[in-house]
Amino acid sequence: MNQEQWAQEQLITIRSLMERASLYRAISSPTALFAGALTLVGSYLFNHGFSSLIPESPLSFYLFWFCLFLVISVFNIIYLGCENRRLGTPLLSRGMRSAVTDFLPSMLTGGILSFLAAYEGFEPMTMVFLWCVFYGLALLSTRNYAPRSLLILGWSFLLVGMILACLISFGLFNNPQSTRSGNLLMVLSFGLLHITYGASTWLTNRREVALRNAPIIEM
Amino acid sequence: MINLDKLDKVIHEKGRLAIMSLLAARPTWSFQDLKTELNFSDGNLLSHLRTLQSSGYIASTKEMHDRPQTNYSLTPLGGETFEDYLGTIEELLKLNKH
Repeated sequence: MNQEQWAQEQLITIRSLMERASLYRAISSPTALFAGALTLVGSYLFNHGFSSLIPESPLSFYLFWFCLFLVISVFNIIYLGCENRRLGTPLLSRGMRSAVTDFLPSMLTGGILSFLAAYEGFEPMTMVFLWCVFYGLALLSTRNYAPRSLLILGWSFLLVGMILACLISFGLFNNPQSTRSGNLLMVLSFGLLHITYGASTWLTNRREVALRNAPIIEM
Repeated sequence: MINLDKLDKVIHEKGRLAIMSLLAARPTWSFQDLKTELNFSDGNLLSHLRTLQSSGYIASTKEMHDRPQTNYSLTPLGGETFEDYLGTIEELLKLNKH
């Protein structure tokens, strides 16, 4: 092997190891906390404020939560953009491009299926079930570079989605047509899971920073 | 022609270069994570880590969870040496292109 081949092989090995090891958190802790809080506020507003302004229907339920989803997505993009700028990396970093590409199929499918469900007049909790399942799948699609906490969040959403499917199938809800039931499920799934994830990753990040600044103990 | 003797002997070894590459990509790695990622035996990994540590390229900290966990990170010297190593390889490739 000549020097050039050797050097190329070394660089390829180093690059592939570094790329494999690079983590990308597609959903930041502040975004998760913001999403969780907005879900709680949104649910309250829908039940107490908007219910008198807009007709209570599966379609209005879909459109309301879709608007909140857009607000959260914009917040996440802005936050990640600021973080990239702070670190001196481009806005559309390799991690962000991969995350968007991997997220898209599941999110798009979930969005379209739930819109059709809303249009056909399915009960709101069916939409919550679809959102949980497809959002969970979207998170799990980033498994090659996502931190473990994000994968746990993905599995949690899938699990909640499956439980919801069972509850819906066995007719365990008193009033499945009610948007109030749908909102309650949004709080229990998207609200609580995001707040738990956001709070725990926030604390972990703080511990990691403290660890990096800790005095070195020789082995 | 670049003299390959210029390359740092400590990180030139394949296993140690792999460890340095991982540590350059993410700030902190636990012993267990390194072992899983590189598929090294405990003894092999520990031996490489000790060599890197005695050269001052990496630092370790111990943390108590359910059981003690050792975390590793690059020192400023390690980061600089790794950069130099990459620089030499890139220089070598550039020279051979001309």
